Amino acid sequence: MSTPNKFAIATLSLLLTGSATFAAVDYQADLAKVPAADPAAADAPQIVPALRGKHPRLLFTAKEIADESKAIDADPILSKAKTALLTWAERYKLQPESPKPQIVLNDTAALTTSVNQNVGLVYAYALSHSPKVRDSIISILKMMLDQPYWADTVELDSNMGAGNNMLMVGLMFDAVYNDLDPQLRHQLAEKLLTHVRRMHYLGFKEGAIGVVKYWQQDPQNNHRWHRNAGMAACLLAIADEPGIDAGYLLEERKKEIDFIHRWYPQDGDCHEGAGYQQFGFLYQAINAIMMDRVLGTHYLESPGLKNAWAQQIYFGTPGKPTDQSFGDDMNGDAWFGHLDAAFFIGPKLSRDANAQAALVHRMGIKQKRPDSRPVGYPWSMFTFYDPTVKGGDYKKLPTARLFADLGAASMRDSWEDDAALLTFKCGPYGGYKLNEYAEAVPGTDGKKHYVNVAHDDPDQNGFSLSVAGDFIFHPGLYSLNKRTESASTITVDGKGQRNEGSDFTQPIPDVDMRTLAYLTAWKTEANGNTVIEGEAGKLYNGLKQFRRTVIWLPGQYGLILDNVRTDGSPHTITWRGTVEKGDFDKPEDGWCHAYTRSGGRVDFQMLADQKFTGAIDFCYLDGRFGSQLMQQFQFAAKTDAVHYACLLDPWKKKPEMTLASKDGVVTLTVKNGGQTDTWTWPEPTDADSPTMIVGERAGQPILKLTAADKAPRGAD
Amino acid sequence: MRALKPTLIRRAAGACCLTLTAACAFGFDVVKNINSGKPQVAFVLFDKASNTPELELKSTPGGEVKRTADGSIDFHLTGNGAANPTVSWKAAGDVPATFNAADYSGMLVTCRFEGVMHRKFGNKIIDQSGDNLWLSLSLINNKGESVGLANPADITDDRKSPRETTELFIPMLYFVRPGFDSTHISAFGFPVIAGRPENDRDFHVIIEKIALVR
Repeated sequence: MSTPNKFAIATLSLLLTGSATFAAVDYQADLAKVPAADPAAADAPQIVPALRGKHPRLLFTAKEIADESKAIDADPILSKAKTALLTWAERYKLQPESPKPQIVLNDTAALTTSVNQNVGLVYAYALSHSPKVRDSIISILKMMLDQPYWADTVELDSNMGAGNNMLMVGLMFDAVYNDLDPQLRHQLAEKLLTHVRRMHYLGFKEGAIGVVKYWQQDPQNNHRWHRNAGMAACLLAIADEPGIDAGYLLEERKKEIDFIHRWYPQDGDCHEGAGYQQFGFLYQAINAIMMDRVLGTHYLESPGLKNAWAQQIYFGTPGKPTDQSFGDDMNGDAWFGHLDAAFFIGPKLSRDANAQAALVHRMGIKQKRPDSRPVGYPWSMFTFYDPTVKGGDYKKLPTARLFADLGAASMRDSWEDDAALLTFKCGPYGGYKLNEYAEAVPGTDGKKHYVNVAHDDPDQNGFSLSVAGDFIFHPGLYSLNKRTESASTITVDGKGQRNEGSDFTQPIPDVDMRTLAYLTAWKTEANGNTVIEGEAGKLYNGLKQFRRTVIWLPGQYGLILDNVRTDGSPHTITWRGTVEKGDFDKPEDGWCHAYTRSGGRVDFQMLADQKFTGAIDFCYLDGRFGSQLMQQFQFAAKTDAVHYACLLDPWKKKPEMTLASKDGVVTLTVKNGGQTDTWTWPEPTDADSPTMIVGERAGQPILKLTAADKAPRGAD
Repeated sequence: MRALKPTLIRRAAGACCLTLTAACAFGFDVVKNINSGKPQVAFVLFDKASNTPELELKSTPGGEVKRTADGSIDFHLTGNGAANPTVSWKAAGDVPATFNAADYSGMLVTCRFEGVMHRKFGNKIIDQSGDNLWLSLSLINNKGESVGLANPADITDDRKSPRETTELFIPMLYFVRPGFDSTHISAFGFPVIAGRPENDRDFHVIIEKIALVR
């Protein structure tokens, strides 16, 4: 494997906490990596004729924003956003900071101040033409003109903070272009060009000295997307300025964004979880908007941009402002902000009114703080929210959805705020598209390309369950000690899946990770009945098979069926379910319950075809931004093969299950009310095909898996 | 396909079935339940009402540790710098000089948190203490290494640092971790890392009792 950044993890951590300023910066040596002139362009993209010499143009023209202003005033959401924005913008005053503004010193300040906050001035000015707001923008531009570096850190002028500062400055320059004194405009244009070139040569061309090149190695690293957005804003704002030859840089930009979109999953989803999807998506989307507007490219046609909303909606905890997600997601309360608003681009592009309605509903949930503090409408609503996408009903969205690039799925019983939501994942670290890239594009050493899977967890075939917003089986935290034993999946002899145990996960070398964990079956019906099945045996030492089948019958019951076979030797197979609290009720019949401090409770029944033990022990969920002491059900059998069957009762219907095994075929009988369901659970025919599970009720099929239900591997 | 053994298969409840080719389900035998029974105290490491074992209190800048009038241990954390006040003990009675954390299931710690953090906003100074004060108990081995941190706010039911005197059970899994030598624990402390320059801590951690539990 090409591993140029084996130790990227440490740098990543430092960058996110904005503490990369302690290392000495060799300014001269770094800047010597930026050549005096650029090569000649072979085929430079051109600014579309209608926008040549015109400003503003990056996100809107003067006419466009004037036309939109009427729609903004007529729309209840955008009119509130406008009122809040203009009120804030009129009060804004740049606070002098000595000796340097924080935004050039650390990433966090650049993220929160430059983009989250200050870009709001761009829209405030466009909508109000207020001289005060204009002057505020110019004061920021002058401050940035005076700064020798826009990221005075070891990753000089090429870190993520630099990308955010560039996005702010580029948009501001474009917004007040026509108001600027010609001399100041020229100075600013030259300054923007300087930072574009530094980011290009030090960042994208990897010239920066003494830093780990962690973000340049694959197309899905969202830190790369932050930089791309900054590059687009600055370069596209000045590309036709007198005396500036941007041909080469434009050509390089197009190559870069072509590359990003070539490997952007059709689902628009993120293998790092819903939290990190949010962290990167705005930058991906706004970059596409600027490029398409100014250069006439077609990045907005990428299916991923239309579909990205789904991961936010389907991995959002019903009724709560939290995610219920795999990967490095804290799954804690998070209020609606500028990054959330970016997902409105999906329905804006697709005209999917039901998706729009779902996002509006989710926005409402994320705006209700229990402490009654106001949650505003961010500037990015004006960029991404299209009020003409009307008439949708989020309750018409399917209750189950597959995320094929990830090997993940979300299934619920309804779209009500008290819904039950079960999530499941069984896929390769990084997802399919990223692994396709790793395998198809060799690294410099000729081996498969390094890809960053730092935020992925060793939790394949893991599930989570919430009911009415309570995590019953917990989805996990943003762990810095990623271990399978924390997740609701299995361990073998106490050990977890390959490459567990890191703070930031690294790719598994010398193997195509797509062959280690994958979905074998996916079937969902109009009534919400859903089956998903994963195979993850190759992720464990000592296993030949770990087939987990999840059957979800909304309003009735759920089944989690594990068929585990070892390499022939007996191993201890431990089923783990991480809960806030739990207790045993009738162990001899397999009955237990998980419950929460806030009153949630789900009973479940655990049976097996081997003698097994049950334990409830502590489970420490470590979290980067706060840990939690949890409890964990642990069911264990030392054997060479075992079937575990778990019957979930989220709807308090009090179903009961019996299990019988004959000639290798397990039969489950579930009595639920006056009905008796029979599930025939045979061995899978091979490692790739669905288990041909058949469920019947009164002689009629409930669900039946066939070869046709083989799950897709990847979203293309 | 694995052949089923022609054995008598017994359910834990006593119901049974005999078959050569078919098996009925098992429930399970409970081998551990942390929610049942009361913790059994192995020894009391510290009690405010007792002078044994003899303690050695080590303060550091920004982290003073002292005994209060009623004998409690008071960790007083001030300012915004790093601090690492510790308490060690001498063997006495059933208290060993060191202990192996893995020999115990956890600790019962009777404690409370007091104080505030002031934060500067321009010319304003506000009390910005949160529910979670982000203060963690550490255990320290005889090499002076911290083997883990347990934040009581992760443990309490309300996820808050306890402001009233509370007996907390801190599982030993916080301190028995791969890569850390917790075989000879000889001290405990409340270390803090440096905070932001605008923050000014003034926290007390009052400990009344620590007992080791099997």
